[in-house]
Amino acid sequence: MIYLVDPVYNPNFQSDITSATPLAPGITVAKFLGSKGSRLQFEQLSGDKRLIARQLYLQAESMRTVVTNKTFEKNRLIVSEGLYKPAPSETPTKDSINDYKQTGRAVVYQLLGEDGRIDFENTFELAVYWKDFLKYQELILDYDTYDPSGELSCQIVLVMPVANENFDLNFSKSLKTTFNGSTLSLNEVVEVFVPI
Amino acid sequence: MTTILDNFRNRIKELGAGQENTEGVPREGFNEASGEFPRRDYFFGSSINKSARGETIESLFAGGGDYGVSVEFSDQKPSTFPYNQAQETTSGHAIHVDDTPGGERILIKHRTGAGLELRADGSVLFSSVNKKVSVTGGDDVVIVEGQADLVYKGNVNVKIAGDYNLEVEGNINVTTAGNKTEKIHRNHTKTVDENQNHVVKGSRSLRVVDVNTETMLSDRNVFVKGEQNNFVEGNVEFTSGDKLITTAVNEWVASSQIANISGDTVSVIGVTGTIGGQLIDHYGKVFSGPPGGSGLGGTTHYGTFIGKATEAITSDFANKAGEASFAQSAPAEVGTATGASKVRNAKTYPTEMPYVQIEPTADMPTTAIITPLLSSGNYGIRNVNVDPGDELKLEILKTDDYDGLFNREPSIHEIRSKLRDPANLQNATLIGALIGEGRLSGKYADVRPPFIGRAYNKKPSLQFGRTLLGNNPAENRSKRFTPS
Repeated sequence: MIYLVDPVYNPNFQSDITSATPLAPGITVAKFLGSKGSRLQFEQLSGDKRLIARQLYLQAESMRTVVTNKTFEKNRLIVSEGLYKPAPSETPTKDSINDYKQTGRAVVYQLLGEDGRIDFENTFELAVYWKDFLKYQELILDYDTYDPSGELSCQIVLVMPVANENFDLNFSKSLKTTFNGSTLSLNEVVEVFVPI
Repeated sequence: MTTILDNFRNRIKELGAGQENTEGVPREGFNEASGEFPRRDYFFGSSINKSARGETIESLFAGGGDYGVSVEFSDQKPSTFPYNQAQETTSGHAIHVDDTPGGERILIKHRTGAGLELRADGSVLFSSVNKKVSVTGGDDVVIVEGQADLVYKGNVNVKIAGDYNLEVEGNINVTTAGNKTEKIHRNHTKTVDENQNHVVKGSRSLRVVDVNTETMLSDRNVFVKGEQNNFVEGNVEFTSGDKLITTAVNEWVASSQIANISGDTVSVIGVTGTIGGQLIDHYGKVFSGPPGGSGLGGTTHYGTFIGKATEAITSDFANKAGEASFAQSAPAEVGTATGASKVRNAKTYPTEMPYVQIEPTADMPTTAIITPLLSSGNYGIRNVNVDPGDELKLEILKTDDYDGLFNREPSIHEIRSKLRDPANLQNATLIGALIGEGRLSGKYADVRPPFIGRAYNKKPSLQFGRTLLGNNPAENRSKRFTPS
């Protein structure tokens, strides 16, 4: 399908692609650079920067759905893992999330509450909302207990198809839930929680 | 006499009661003419503002917090009628002046959620859902008695026309994932009252156009694992107030068109080598070498000698020899010896030398003396071994600890990001180091979630409407729809 792009933010129409290139109202490329999981500068990235901007445009459109949604008015959606640059000796596994993160095809989000902590309940609500209303290639609801304290963490990984120049995209909309890097469930989002 | 009542009766007769009783009366009775009110939420209930009655609590847009940053306030007590003077417009703008005991507040809210709230506990919330501009014509003073958190998700540009004076009673910690660039158009002065440490994991470059002066009032140590090259186009002066030692394990070279070594006591010693040259003058008290004649491993002198020798084993020609009477033989073909010399059969050496014998100050530098001198002692060759095994380097770079995947201690967010690659998740070196340092939970590979809750498959879920579209009838309020 041809994805209709807002001409104001269409990266194909931007004269230059920098970290300040706008992708949506209030969202620039910089939003996907300073994440806590993968910090880097746009200049450090190799490859087609316009392609990266097109990928990020799709991600920015997804972010907008949260900002304008009353259900999440007390939440803040943050990019926890944006654009990714592997270590000098690292070669990301082909078609892994980190491979996709190099070009912005995959972005990892966290939904924080007013207290600045992950809002697990609404993260699940957001995953359900996105699975129904969003166009994507794959949505992964990811839980882990990597934190040394054993605290549960929750992220949503949004994978987009390759955004070619004419935005002729194929959104396969596959679903997955993972726990500690292992698949917990395929083709559905499953809520994991720790009772209070 | 006719009255207005007669006309009324006449009209009923002429037009009928139905028309007469409804003419000029709105169809919906005395409803609000615009149709906006009562709003859908107020159907079949009191028209008094819900917030005024405490049924709802109006609040401003705050969004969520950020990592380590909370935007939480204490809960607002619902209003009690009639303490809350509430005004709300058709689009949703609201002004509340609330005197509810325990919940006193003032709220000015835009329909978008932006606005100003003076809360019951004295907190103030200022919210803007879009751009915020603050213009101050005069001075601006900000005093914060507590802690402050600033989170900017985009770039921050600060322009200061005057001086920028920063006084911090505690520490200043700056962490940047990218570059740090400072441009100082005039001087840069930095005073450190205690120690200063620099760790550079890559290269370091310093360029000084004018004079570079370093003054150390104590020791200075430079350790170089690789090569050190000093290239100076002009003069070099290397002066020591006490002792200057230069040693090299393999070779020490000093060369110049004019070379000078001078000292009260000078020692140039070695086992083999060459000292002197074609036009070199030698001055000295004693020239000494191994005993024995030429060809027997002893010292050999070539050239012309002017002076006296205490002994000559063979001599082609003796101009004047005070002790020639001791000459053992003289070749016949050279000529007849002049003077009072004569050949004697018995070889008898003089017991008293004609000159005072001067012994060398030091023993002859032989291998037995030179070898231990070079290997130990103050004048020995210094063995240089900087960071053997690259232990310090690896400790600084950290790459070895994490199998090259991190070059610093990673945060849990960076670890999580790295472990998204299945290859990294299986990397025993990385995982072992992270668990060992307490940066990763030992249960990182546990595949059993604590509890399972709701589950939705790919089929679109039933959704409640989230955004009100117009003043819909009440019966639509809870209608659900399925996204396609």
